[in-house]
Parts: sequence; C-alpha cells; structure tokens
Amino acid sequence: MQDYVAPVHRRWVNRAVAREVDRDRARWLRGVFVAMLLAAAPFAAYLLEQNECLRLSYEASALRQRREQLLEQERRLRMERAARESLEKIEAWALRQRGLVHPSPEQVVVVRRPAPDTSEVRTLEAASR
Amino acid sequence: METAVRKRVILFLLAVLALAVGIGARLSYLQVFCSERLRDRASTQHWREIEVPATRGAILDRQGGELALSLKTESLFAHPRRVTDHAKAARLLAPIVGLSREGILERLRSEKTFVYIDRFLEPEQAAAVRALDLPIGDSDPFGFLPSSKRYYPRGKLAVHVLGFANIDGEGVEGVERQYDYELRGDPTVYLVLQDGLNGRVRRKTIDLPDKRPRDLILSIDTVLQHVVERELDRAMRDTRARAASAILIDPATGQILALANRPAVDLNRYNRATDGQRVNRAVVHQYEPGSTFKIVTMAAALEHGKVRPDQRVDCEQGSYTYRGRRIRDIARRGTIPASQVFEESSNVGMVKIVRRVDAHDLHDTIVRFGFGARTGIELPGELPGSLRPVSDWSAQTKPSLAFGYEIGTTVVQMAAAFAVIANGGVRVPPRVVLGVRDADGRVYRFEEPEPYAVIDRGVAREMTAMMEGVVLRGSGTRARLPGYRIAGKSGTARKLAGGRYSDTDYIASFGGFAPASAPRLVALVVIDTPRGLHYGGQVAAPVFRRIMGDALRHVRAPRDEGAVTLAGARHPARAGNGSPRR
Repeated sequence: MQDYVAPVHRRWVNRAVAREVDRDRARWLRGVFVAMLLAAAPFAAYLLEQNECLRLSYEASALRQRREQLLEQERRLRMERAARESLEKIEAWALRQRGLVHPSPEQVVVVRRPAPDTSEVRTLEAASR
Repeated sequence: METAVRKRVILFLLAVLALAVGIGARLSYLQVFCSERLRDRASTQHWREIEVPATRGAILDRQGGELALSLKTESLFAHPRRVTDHAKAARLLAPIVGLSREGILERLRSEKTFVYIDRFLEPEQAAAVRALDLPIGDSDPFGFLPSSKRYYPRGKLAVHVLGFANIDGEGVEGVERQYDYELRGDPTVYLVLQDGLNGRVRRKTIDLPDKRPRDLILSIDTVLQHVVERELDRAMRDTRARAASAILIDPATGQILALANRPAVDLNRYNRATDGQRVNRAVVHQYEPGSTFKIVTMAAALEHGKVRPDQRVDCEQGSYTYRGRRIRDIARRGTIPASQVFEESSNVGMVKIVRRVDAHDLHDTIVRFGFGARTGIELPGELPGSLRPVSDWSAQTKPSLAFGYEIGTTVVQMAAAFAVIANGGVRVPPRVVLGVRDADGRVYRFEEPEPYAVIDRGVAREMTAMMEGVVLRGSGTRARLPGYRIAGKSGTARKLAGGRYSDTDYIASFGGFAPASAPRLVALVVIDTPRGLHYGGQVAAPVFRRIMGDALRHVRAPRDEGAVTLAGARHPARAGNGSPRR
C-alpha cells in the first residue's frame, strides 16, 4: 500500500510555544496546593496514629498472651517443684534406693544456729506493707 | 456522525446517573432504615465478649510451699449432631484424650446437642487435638472451653486439713470448703476486638471481678506434717488399729503445725475415697478420753486447793467401791502421794481426789479448758464434744469424769487442753489458718485468737512436774526421749459398743509436750482399736516419742540440761514394785 502524502498548504508552522507564566495563577495554585496539604495533614496524622495504635494493640495483645503463658508456666513449675519436694517420696527413695537409715536419737547433735540476719528477710508483715 | 456520538455520550451519562442514583438510594436506605441493625451485626462480628474464669487460689504451708493449686486446662466438647464422621473423629481423638474409641463414639452418637469429650486436657493434649484433621472452632462441631483443674502436688499430705475442691472448683471438705469464698474469684469479662482472621486487636475490660481469688496460708509445717503422717502409718501397721489421729501444736500461739488422721486418701484420687478415709476424725469424731483427761481433773483439784502433789491418798490396793460402783486399778497401791496417783494413773486415787472438788468448780474448770464447746478451729464439721450441765449429773458423773468417762471430746480439744498446761495455764484457741495472700502478693494475717487464763501458772507448773513424772517413772516411760524433758499423760478408754463398754475395743492415747522446761511443741496421739497391746502407754507413747524426737530436731529445740537418759529414774516416794501401764 502506497503512503498517501497530503499536499502542504499550511500558513502556519508548528513550533514550541513559549507560554508566558501567569504569576497570579501560579501563586493561586500553590496556595490551593498548600491549603490541600494542610487540610489533609490531620487526616494523614490520624491515619498514621490509627495505624500505630493498631500495631501497638497487636503487640500488647501478644505480650499479654505471653505474660499469661509465663504465669501459667510458673504455676506449673511451682507445682512440679512441690511434687518433687514431697518428703514421702524423698524418704522412700533415700531408704530404698540409697540404703540410708534414720539416725538414732543419740547420733543426733542439735547445732545452735547463729541468729540469722533478719534485715533482708521479708516477713509476712513486711510483705503486707 | 457527530449527533450519533453525542447521543451515545448522553446515554452513557444517563446510565451513570441512574447507577449513581441507585447506589445513592441504596446507601440512603441502608443508612436511614438499617443502620442500627447493621451496626449491631458489625459489632457482633468484630467485638466478642469473653469471660475468663478466675483460677482458684492456692493453699500454702507456713513456709509458702504449695499444698494445693489450680492450673489452666481446656475441656474438649462436641456438638454431636453436627459431627459428620463419627468414626474418624473417634479414631483420631482416642489416642490423645485417654478415652477408648468406643467411649468417644458413644458420646458422639448422643442425642444431646452438647457433650464433653474430655475435660481438663493438659496444654500438650489440647495442642495435639488442635493439630488433628478435625473441624475445631467456635462454629464448628468441636471446640474447647477454658477450665482449671485442682492439683494437690504432695499427694495425701494434710488431706484432712486441705479437704477437697470438686470438678466445678467448689470446696467440699476441709479448708477448701471453709475458705471457699476466699479461694474463689469472680470471672473477668472482656470485650475483644477481632480482625478478619480472628486475631485479637484490642481488649477492654467491661466487668471487673468484685472479688479476686486469694491464696490461703496455713499454719501447717510440711516437714512436721510428714513426720506425723509417717509415724501414724507405721502405728497403723504395727497395731493393726482401726484408725488413728495425731496433732502437733505450738502452745504459745495455738497454731496447729501438723494434723493427720488414718485412714487417709491421696487427694488427687479423692473421688474414690470411702467415707472413713475422708472423715477428719480429729475434729468430727468424739471419744471418751480416758486417763489423758486426768490432766484436767487433777488441775481442777489443784486449782481449787483440794489436793497438793505431796498429799497422800489411799488407793485401796487397787479396788474401791464408790456409791455402789466398783473402781479398779491395774496395780495394787496403798497410800501414795497425789503426784504418784497421777503418774501411775490410779483411777481409785483420782476418784478420791476429784470427789473433793465441788461439782460446779469441776464443771467450770472443764469448760475453761475448752470442753463442751467448739474450739473454733477453721475446719468444717467440728463437734463441740459432750459435757452435761451439772444439773444433769448423776452420782457417778464426778468419779467417771475423774478418769475421763462421761465426757465426749475431740482430738483437737484434748490437744488444746495439753497446750494449756504447756503454756503456763493460758489457753490460746487452736487454729490452722494464718491468713491470706492476694493476687498482688500482699499478705493479710487473720486476727490472733484472744488467749485467756484457765489455771494458775503455779498449778500449771505442778501439773508439768507431775506429767514429767509420768514419763520418767509412770505410765508413759515409752515416751522418754534422750536429752529432753518430756511431760505427758497416757490414756486408755474402753469403747462403747451397743450401750456397753467393750472388753476388746479400746482407744489408746498419749499426749504431752517438750521440752518441759520451755515447751515448744505439744503432741497428742490417739489410736482407735489397736489389736494386741492396747494401753496408751504401750501403743501411743512410742508414736509420740518418735514424732516428738523428729519434731524437736526440726524446730531446733535446745536440749534440756540434765535431762534423763534412757536409763530412767524411779519415784522417790514410790512404795513397792510394779509398773502399771495405763
């Protein structure tokens, strides 16, 4: 197919137009832009705050859950310790497994302990204060 | 051409306008007419109300060691009608939940809308169930409910003090029942904001508990409790007795350091216990104390100036008839000092001493010792014992009381009576709970009971000396402990059976305190229906000695200077030989 070329009978020439800057209009536009920015700023701040709040909520929720888990774990460990401290089991083990025997009264010497330093001891009364 | 384009544009704009009007109308409808309903629906989708039950408070010994505590568990439930594949569910769950496949199937085929598959699953079990290929969730056939389970990590230790909390977390025995209000807490209700994946975004408390659970602090010393229970077990084996009880008290404070009964049961298997194993005999069972009660009647005689320890009493060679009733002793004694009457537990001598005491004075002293009324110990079901008013006394009541009959006492009452003498004549009501500890660790001590004088300090000293004589020379020599001065009294009472006193069934007991110079501990051992030997001095005194020996060592009580050794001593005023063991 042959290209069609129209005859040129134009009385003008296309060239870059050097538009004159309308300073008033530009100022007005800048003002509008700044005003829009100012108007949008609180919304943006609100969105950022909401986002941060949400993030912290997730974090707090996870930490709270973790705390509850740790408290529960601590309770379980306390129970485990109490079960292992059972004197009945310890005594049975000592007598049967290790072959220990109860001392006769004559073998027992009561040693007087020095008075303990009570300055650091948390008494029930101190704990209640 | 241009007109056609314009028409199309106009049509398009009209369509857009119609759409906008439609959307606007719909929005207006939703906003104006449905807003409340939709807001509620959105709220229920995002906000959930969650009730978190309070975990029952722990029970601690005096050193803060756990005797009972609750742990969080989960209970697996099912909506049977919504379960599609029963067989698969049963096959998957059976190895984890500790139920047979048939057992699970039976529950899943139930006509009920809700069944528990298994309650109180440990966290590992719950995690394993969640990992199964089963629909588990809020709107699914299976789900979990939070729960808590009571544990007693030390088995049967202090079972009768602790009692028991049932599957619903309600105390049904012991301090679990008595202090149920303190141990239980109200649930906390939270409103939780959830995202689309059920993740919890925010939580706010909408219903704070009025009461948070508190831990209970007991006066029980775990080591002493173990010693007492070990020795009771041994006594039960040695004597083949029907039952036994023992108590250790700090006389200065009235605090019960150990309280045990046999038979007993492991607290973690409490549901399988028989009534005999559950009953706290030390407080809900009354018995005639026999000769241990002579500490009260002799104290009454001394207090009212009716006898002096060195005053001589004719014991009629062990047989005496008082108003038509024959009273006998094991040993034949003539005239001996009142202190020896007490040491050798002569019934004849005691009747002669007590008959000099005015009935009202005797009754008053008995009441002041705490008999005939509840001690106020914080354990449920305590009996007041039985003591008749003087107006109901017969001619035989006073002589019967002289050696511990015609009166019903509990083990706690009797131990508290020994504590009166150990404490210089001052009675401090016994107690087993020291206070509570709140969730923030603050400790609140309960008010101490008000002590009051029962007998004169000098009388208490004379009683202590006579009770030392019981252990040194009298009926309680098997309670001697090298290095310590022990004061005690034995007792042997015939049991009532079918309205008559039995010739075969006895209650053997031994009570006392040590070191006699500055008493730190009071102990009472009561053995019900021992087989073979049955006197308190033979059966209960050795148990007392073993308990007291270990207990004194545990509390690091200094030895008494000049205390006798096992070689023993004889009463300077004793006439003749023989050693009755009553």
